[in-house]
Amino acid sequence: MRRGKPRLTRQQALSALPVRNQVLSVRRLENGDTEITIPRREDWVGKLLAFCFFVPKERKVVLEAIGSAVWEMCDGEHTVSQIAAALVKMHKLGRREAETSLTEYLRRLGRRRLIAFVVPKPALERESSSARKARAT
Amino acid sequence: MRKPSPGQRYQREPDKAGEGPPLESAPAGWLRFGWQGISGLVPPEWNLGAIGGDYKRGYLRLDDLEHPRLEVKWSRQAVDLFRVREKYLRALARPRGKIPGLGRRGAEVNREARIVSNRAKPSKRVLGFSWQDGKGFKGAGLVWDCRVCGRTLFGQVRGYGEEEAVGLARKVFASLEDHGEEGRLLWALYGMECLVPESYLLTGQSLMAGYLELDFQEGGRSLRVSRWGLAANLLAEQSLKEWFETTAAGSRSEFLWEARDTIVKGHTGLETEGETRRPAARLAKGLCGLLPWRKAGPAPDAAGRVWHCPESNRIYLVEGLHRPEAETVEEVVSSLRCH
Repeated sequence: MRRGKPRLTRQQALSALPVRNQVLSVRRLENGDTEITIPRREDWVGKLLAFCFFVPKERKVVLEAIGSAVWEMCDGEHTVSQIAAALVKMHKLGRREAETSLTEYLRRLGRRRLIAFVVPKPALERESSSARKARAT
Repeated sequence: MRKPSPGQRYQREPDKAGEGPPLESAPAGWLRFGWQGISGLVPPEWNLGAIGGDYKRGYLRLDDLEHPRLEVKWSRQAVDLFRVREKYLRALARPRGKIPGLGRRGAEVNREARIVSNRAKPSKRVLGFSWQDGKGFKGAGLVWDCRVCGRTLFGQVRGYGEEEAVGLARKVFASLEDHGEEGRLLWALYGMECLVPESYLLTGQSLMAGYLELDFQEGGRSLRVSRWGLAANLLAEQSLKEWFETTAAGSRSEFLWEARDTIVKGHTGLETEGETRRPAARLAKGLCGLLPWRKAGPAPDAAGRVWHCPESNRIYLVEGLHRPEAETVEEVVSSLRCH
């Protein structure tokens, strides 16, 4: 039977480390925004689609000031929880407000393949042992 | 609150905007919450997680970052308190899934739990309860009916792990109240607190990360309280007035807005006035202005205050629409705690 993607618990999601996609080229603009250039895929599927639909060789995405700050922290060393705490401190947000906005923002970046998430093994192992206990009850 | 007479000039005192005393701050380590007349003090991590209904009958739930913490249901219907408590506790005590070493059993319930004494809440009849199941979930709460507002309330605090639910419930319910004072209700959520006259009923709300809006109505008059977050970013490249004209005023396009700089609660702010765009209303207003016994000009169709609070990095707006009462807007502005 095919298994779906494992769902992360809230704790696992907060301890995940967002990492920027290394194939992207990034440029910091004068006004503090960040411009990300996304190259077109160059495999046979990409070439076929590009031929049929005139897909440009690259496209650009601009992140505004707050988005740029979050982007900078997606370095594989800051967890989602730490990024949320930084937003609370920088912008005087409530913790819930920061987490809600941040998780949605990171989800969108992830969907566009601009970042990926690394979940530390200890967090997964902690969770799987408590999940096993919960199943046993 | 005395209503102005028809001929009385609609007087504004911009220099005194919001000079009345704001709400007192909550004790250290506690956060004030208020919704549909239910108000109290809770730990600062608890915030509004779910709402439903209205003043007569409704529900609210406060959650911390992980779990539901406080649930409150209220109704204007007279109910048998014993029966309500019994129905809930019987459902909890019903055997559910297997617990290792204990077999199939439901929660252990305690009908003698003293959460709040009748002496502490003299206008209410109170019945307490607590429960605990074998999985570490626990709760403590009460049912009461209030002689002042006529509402029946069912409330419960949830505890997890090693927490002492009864002790926590005692602290929370000691501060809980189900009606306002001096004809005003506390509306407090996500760090914003203000007092609004009881006669203004909530007709709508927007509760989003970064933006809160509460809409009230009393007869034909409307009152709106709004809050925007990340104010420093919103005002990075424009003044408060420019922001108001492009954002806040634009969303209420039925009025032609005019904004004047002023100081509100010690912050940079705006005094706003709006005139209706509807031709029939404008004509009627113009004709009324010609009447000889009217000593002064007619009241604006909309009026309010906007201010930027750098301490909380937020922009606040309080406005009355459709022939607002100046005193109401000023009272709400005065009571609003912005930082």
